[in-house]
Amino acid sequence: MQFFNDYQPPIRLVIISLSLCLVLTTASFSYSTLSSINLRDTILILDRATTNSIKQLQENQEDQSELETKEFRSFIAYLSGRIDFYCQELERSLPPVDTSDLPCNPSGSTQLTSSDILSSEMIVETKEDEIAKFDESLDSALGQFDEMLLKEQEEISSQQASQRTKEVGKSATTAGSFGESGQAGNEQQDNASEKTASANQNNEPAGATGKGTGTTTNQTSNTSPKKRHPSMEVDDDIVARQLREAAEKETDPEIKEKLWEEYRKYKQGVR
Amino acid sequence: MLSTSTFFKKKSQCKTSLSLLSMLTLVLLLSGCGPSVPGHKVSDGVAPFVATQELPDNELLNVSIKVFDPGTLPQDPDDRRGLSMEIREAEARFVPIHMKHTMQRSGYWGAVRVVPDDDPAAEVLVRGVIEYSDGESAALTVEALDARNVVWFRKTYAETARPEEHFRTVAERKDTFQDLFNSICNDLIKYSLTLTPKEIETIRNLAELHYASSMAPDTFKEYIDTKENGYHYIRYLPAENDPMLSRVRSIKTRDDMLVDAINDYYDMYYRDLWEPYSNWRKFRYEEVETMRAVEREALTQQVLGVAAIVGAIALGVGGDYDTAIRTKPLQDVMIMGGAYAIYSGTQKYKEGQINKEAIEELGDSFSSEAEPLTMEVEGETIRLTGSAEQQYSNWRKLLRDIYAKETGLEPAQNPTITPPQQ
Repeated sequence: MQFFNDYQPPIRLVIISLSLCLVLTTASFSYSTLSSINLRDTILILDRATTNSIKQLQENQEDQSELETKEFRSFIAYLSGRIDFYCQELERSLPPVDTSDLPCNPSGSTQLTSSDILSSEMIVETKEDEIAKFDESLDSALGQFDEMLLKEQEEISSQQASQRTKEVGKSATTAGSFGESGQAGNEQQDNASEKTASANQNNEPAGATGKGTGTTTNQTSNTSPKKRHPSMEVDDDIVARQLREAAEKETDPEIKEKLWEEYRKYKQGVR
Repeated sequence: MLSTSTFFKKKSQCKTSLSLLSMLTLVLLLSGCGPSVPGHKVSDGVAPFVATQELPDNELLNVSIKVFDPGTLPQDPDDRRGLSMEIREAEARFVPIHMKHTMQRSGYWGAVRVVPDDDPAAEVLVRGVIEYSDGESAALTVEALDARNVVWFRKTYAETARPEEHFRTVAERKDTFQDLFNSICNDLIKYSLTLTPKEIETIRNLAELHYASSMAPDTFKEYIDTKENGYHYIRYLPAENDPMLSRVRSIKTRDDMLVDAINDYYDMYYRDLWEPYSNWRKFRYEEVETMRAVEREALTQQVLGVAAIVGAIALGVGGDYDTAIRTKPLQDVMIMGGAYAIYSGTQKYKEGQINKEAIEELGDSFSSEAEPLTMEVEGETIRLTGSAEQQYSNWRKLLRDIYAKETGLEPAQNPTITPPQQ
C-alpha cells in the first residue's frame, strides 16, 4: 500500500486502469475459452446425434412411411444446420479456435456428409415429396392463421370483459337513478346472471352450439380455438416435435441433454 | 203535413248533414292511425317452437343469416320523421343478431351465424330486407334457401308493437317485436321439419362441396351440377378420405372460427346497441302517441268548428225566412263557436309541433349513438374478412399447386371462383 501511495495521482490512475484492463481481459478470455469448450462439446454431441439419426434412418428406411422418412430427413437437416451455426460461432470467437478436429470445414459449413447423403443418395424428390412440401406450406399457413385467430380471441375476450364491467356499472347507476328504467336494468342483470349460470352448467340448448362449431357469445363457449383443436394445446411445430421426440427416446444422457437444450432454444426462438 | 218541396229540401239538408258527418267521422278515424305497414301482420303472443329433446347432430342444419338490407326510408316526410339511414344500418345488423339468438334457443338448428355477405358454404341461408321500421312498427321481408338453391319461403312479416311490449324487454330473449321474430323462426322450423334425413344429408354435402369448389374449383367443380330450374345437385361425392377434401375441411374449420370471431364482434355490438335502441323505440313510441293524441284533439276541434259553421250556414240558408230570423242568434253563436274551435285546433297543432321536434331529436340522438358503433363493427368485419381473404388466396394457390402435382394437369391460370348463386 505504501508502494502504491508513493506514486503521483496521475500515475496511480494509469495503474488502476491497467489493472482493470488486465482483469477484464483475463475474465473475457476465460469466458470465451469456457464458451468455446462448451460449443465444441455441443458440436461433437450434436454430430453424434446426427450420425445416429442417419444410421437409424438408413436401417429403418424400408419400414418407415414416406411421411416419416421425410420428417426424419428434415430433422437431420435441422441438426446439421445447428452444427453449422455453432461452427460459425466458434470461428468468430476470440482467441481463434482450431476446428480441424471438429465436423466443421474451413468455410464454416459442416464436414458432415449428411447433407451430401440427403441430396444425393437419400433424397429422391418424388411427386409425393413435392405434394408433402405443399402440404407443409399449407399447414404452416394454417398455423399462422390459427395464431392470428388466437390473438383475435384474446382481444375479443378482453373487450367482452370490459363491456360486461361497463354494463354492470351502467345497470347499477340506472337502478339507483330511475324507477322504471331501474326495473329494466334489473331485468338485464337478471338476464346476464341467468346466462352465466346456464353457461356454467353447460345447459345451452342443442342449437346453441350446433355441431361443435356454433357461434356463442361469451368466452366460456365451446368454440374457442383451443378447445376445438386439441393439437394446438401442444403448440409444437414439426421441428419442435421431432426434437422433443428424439430427446425423449435418446438413451445417451449427453445427447439427450443437448437435444432438450436445442428444443428449448427452438421454442424460445433462439437459434 | 209537409209540402213536397219542403220535404225534398229537408231530405236534401239531412243528406248533406249525414254525408258531412260521415266524412268527418272518417277524417277523425284516419287521423288516429299510424303509417300503413306492408306485409302479413303477425299474431300477438306467438310462442316460439322449442325442441323438447336434444336433436341428433345429423338432423341439425347450420344457418347463416346475412346482414339485412336496410331498405329505404318512407317517402312521406311525416312517416320519415326522426328516422335515418344510420338507424336503418344499425337495425340491419341488430335484427339478424336477435334472430340468431331466437333461433339458437329453439334447439332445432346447428350453428347459427350472422355473416356479412352471402355465404357460399351455407347449408341454410337467410336473407332479409327491412321494409319498414319506426320503433313502433316493423316489417321485414325474409327469404330462406338451402344449399340446393331451393327457396324455402319468401314472406313479409309485419308487427305493430302493443304499448306493453315496449317495456320489460330482455336482451337476446325478448325484443319489442318478439312476436315477429318468433313467427319467422317458427316458419323456418316448420319448413326444416318437412325435410327428410336424405334431403338434410344432401344439403350438408352440397354446402361442403360448394365451399370446396370455392377454394379448389379445379378439383371440386365437377362434383356439382345445376338443373334447368336452378337447383344444385351432386353428381358424385368425393371419397371420405380424399386428401384434398381433408385439406379443404381444415380450411373450413378456420373459416368457421373466423366467422365465430366476427359474430363475437356482432354480439358485442348488439349488447352495446340494446339499451339505446330499446330506449329510442320506447321514447319515440311515447312521443308519437302523444303527438297523435294532440293532433286528434286538434282535428276534432277543427272539424267540430267547421261543422258548427256549416250548420249555422245551413240553418240560415235551408229554412224559410221565419226560421232564419228566429235562429239568427243561434247561428251567430254557432259561427263564433266554430271559429273559436278552429282557432283552438290550430293552436293545438302547434303544441304537437313540440312532439315532432322531440321525435326528430330522439332520432338524431340515437343516430349519433348508433353510427359510430355500426362503423366500428363494420370496420372489424372488414379487417377480419380482408386479412382472411389474403390468406384464402394463398391457400387457394397452394391447393391448385397440389392439384397440379397430384393430377399432372396444369390448372387454369386464373380460375374463376364462382360461389353458388343462392
